[in-house]
Amino acid sequence: MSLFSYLFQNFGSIMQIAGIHALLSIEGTVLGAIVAIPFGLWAYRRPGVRRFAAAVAETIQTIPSLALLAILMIWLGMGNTTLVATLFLYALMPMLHNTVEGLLSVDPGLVEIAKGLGMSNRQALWRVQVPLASPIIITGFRMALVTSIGIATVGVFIGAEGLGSLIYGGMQVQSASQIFAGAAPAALMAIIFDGFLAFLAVRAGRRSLRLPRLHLRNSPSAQTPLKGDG
Amino acid sequence: MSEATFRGYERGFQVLEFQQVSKSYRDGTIAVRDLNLRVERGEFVVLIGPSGCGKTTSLRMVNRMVEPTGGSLLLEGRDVTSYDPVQLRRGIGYVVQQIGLFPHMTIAENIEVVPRLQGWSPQRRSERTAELLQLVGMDPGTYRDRFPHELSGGQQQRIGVLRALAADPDLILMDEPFGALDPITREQLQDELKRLQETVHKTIVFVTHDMDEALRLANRIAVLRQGQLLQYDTPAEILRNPADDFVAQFVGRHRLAEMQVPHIVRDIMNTRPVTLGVGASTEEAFALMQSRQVDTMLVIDEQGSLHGYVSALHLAHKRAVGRTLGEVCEQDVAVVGPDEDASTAFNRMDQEHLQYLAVVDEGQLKGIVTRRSMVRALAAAIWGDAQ
Amino acid sequence: MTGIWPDIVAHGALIWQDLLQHVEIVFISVAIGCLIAIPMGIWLTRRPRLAEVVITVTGLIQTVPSLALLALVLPVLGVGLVPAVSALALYALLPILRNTYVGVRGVPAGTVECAKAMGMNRMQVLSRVELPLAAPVIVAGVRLSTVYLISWAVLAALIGGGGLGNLILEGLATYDFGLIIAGAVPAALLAIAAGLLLSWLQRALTPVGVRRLAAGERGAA
Ligand SMILES: Nc1ncnc2c1ncn2[C@@H]1O[C@H](COP(=O)(O)OP(=O)(O)OP(=O)(O)O)[C@@H](O)[C@H]1O
Ligand SMILES: [Mg+2]
Repeated sequence: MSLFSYLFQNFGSIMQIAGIHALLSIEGTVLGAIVAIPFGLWAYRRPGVRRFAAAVAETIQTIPSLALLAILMIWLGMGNTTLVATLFLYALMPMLHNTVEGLLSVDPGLVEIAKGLGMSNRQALWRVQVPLASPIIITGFRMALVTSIGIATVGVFIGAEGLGSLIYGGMQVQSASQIFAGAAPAALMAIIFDGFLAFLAVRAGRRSLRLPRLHLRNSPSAQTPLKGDG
Repeated sequence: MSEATFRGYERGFQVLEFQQVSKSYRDGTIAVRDLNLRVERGEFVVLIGPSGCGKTTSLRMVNRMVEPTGGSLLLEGRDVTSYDPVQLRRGIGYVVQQIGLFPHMTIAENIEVVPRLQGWSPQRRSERTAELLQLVGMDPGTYRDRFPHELSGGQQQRIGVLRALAADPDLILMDEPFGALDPITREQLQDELKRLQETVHKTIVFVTHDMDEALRLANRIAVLRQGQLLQYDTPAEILRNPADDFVAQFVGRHRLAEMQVPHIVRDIMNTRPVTLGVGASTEEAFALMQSRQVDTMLVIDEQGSLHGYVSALHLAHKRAVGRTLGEVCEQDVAVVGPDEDASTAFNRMDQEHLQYLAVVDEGQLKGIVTRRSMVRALAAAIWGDAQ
Repeated sequence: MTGIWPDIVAHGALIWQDLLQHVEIVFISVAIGCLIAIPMGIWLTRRPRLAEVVITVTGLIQTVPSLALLALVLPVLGVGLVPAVSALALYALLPILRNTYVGVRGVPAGTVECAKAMGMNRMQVLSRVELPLAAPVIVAGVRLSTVYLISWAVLAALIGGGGLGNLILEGLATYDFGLIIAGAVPAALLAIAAGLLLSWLQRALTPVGVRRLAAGERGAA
């Protein structure tokens, strides 16, 4: 069966599976965010805790996805729950890391000024530090979500739903069309979320006046001195 | 034509000549226009002018970091484009505005970059490094294995200068090397550089936009504006006869005013007398006197007000070992105010047979007038700043 | 927890064989990746326009889920060790290429200028200034690739690549927890060990003079 007719005939069900795939990915990532971001806010001032947590999160991140899925499956059984639990674990590292880095990147001078203006610690955190750190925190979420979408395809091996079922099914029946029907939406979904969240991060950055930092490289002519001597 | 190798460091560089040199960039900017300039061996030439006038561009054409679009640059009578650029650069020292030390190399490795490129033996290299570090008063044992970020800005810039000297090139190019330093460190490095040039006899082309720096360092100053050479002359001549209003303005009215004979003490005093604090020991005083070759020294307290003086002679008499200068110093110092008439000061020194006068303003030590500083100030006024 | 050890012992010989094969696949793929990506990354720094396109495209490829990419290789290259290694090497390229490019570009222009002005030729500028300064970032890319590849090599068993994936997939298919543990635990340990080893290497390759200034991993994608 040709690719197009396959896609055409199964459009509805492909979209439905893709929808489930997106939901599962988002679910795992959001759960990760709910834990990692507040933890990051708490831990960023405590270098010991911060480093320990980062090491643990990074170690988890290192474990091959199929291995972690398989191990968790032994405790949590086959199905979506295990997948979401795994995605949750993988999401911790990028988000914890970026929350901490984001907060640390905020100019301490600004925090001083905020306090000088009469803000409490808590107010300075929420009104100055978090907004300024938000582009980096959003980037952490973005990295976590893109990873989740990829790993969710592997969920098929522990009986979770999602686009992996199309891909793996296609591999078994050697149908390139079916593989493509699973792979393309997964890739597309990752690219779209990636772009969308990158856009959000830039917007958050512009709002918090951090845009100048995005100009990473000045051409020599960009440094042209004033020509006011004529 | 086969490419010649520039071996300025072997044969001895004679002369550098800009002949009708122009440079226009692709975007249409004309950075340098028909520049004619001749730099003789052993000269210290300073290129000066407002930002964007083409100083850096002119300098970088010498070592072919930028290629001219018109005219020619002659080195030892040959067009620089006939030299292989890599070899050419190895024979020309180069110091830049930002410090430009390699962060991953130690101080020694940084200094030895060019000697290494030229294949010197490790032993010769390390001897050279030690010699150079000593030249600027940095202990080789302490500094050789440090990394650039472990040095102060002034020290880093010194290393930048040493690096340019390392392979003993005859010609050195410097592009605002002291631009990023605080005024005090800058002056100190200028003094060191001047002294260095007098001892090692390098030909130096130096870019700055600071007129004080130019006047202090140069044998000849080239004033540029919008890519054109306005005047090329000795500092004294530029001060005396500025070519046009622009040069005059650039030199600054206050400096032209300074050209008149100094009439108050402030004009002739040495602002950095040899001093020590009241808490210093007599041993320290001896050591400092020896190293600075003076036989008296002023003693000041923490607030910088004058406390007295000590001389080598009476330190020896007083059996002063183990006591502080505050305890042993003499207090009958001859004092003068900074705004008093210079000629009065001169007469006093003459009549009372004084070696020096301490300049004190509201209790604070401001400087010292010695016979030497007086003669210097007069000489500078009469013959210009060049020494 | 008491269950893990017996499982591993029981499948000892098998694990050892698959582990070695796993390491072999990853090593070959990363090596190929380095051989192509590092010179290419350096070359790209001399062609900024092209580089922008290439970096964007590699960024896009990196967002494609690994299973999807492996599955797409299947119809094109077929089944076996060679297709598996090809797909993995392609994947390994991306972070290394990106980091080489970012790392070399990240060397301050003034520093490179200075090296040139002192009379270094192109190769000397590269080998004495640019590469030493970019090394930590490049190694960070290699590390990232290696860790990813250990994970993807597990899936490569699906297209006949062999390795520890065989044990896990077989265990999942037959619901044999022993086999799953025998595959998953060594795979996890292998990845962690490789990550630590390369982190160490990254630190060791960071020039002492820049160690304090360097934020090596920040250059990573
Ligand atoms: N690569 C380039 N491309 C285009 N224009 C350039 C380039 N480099 C310099 N220019 C222009 O050439 C002119 C002279 O520049 P140059 O760097 O020589 O000035 P400068 O006298 O050294 O100034 P400054 O004191 O600010 O260092 C300037 O107008 C500058 O904008
Ligand atoms: Mg300049």
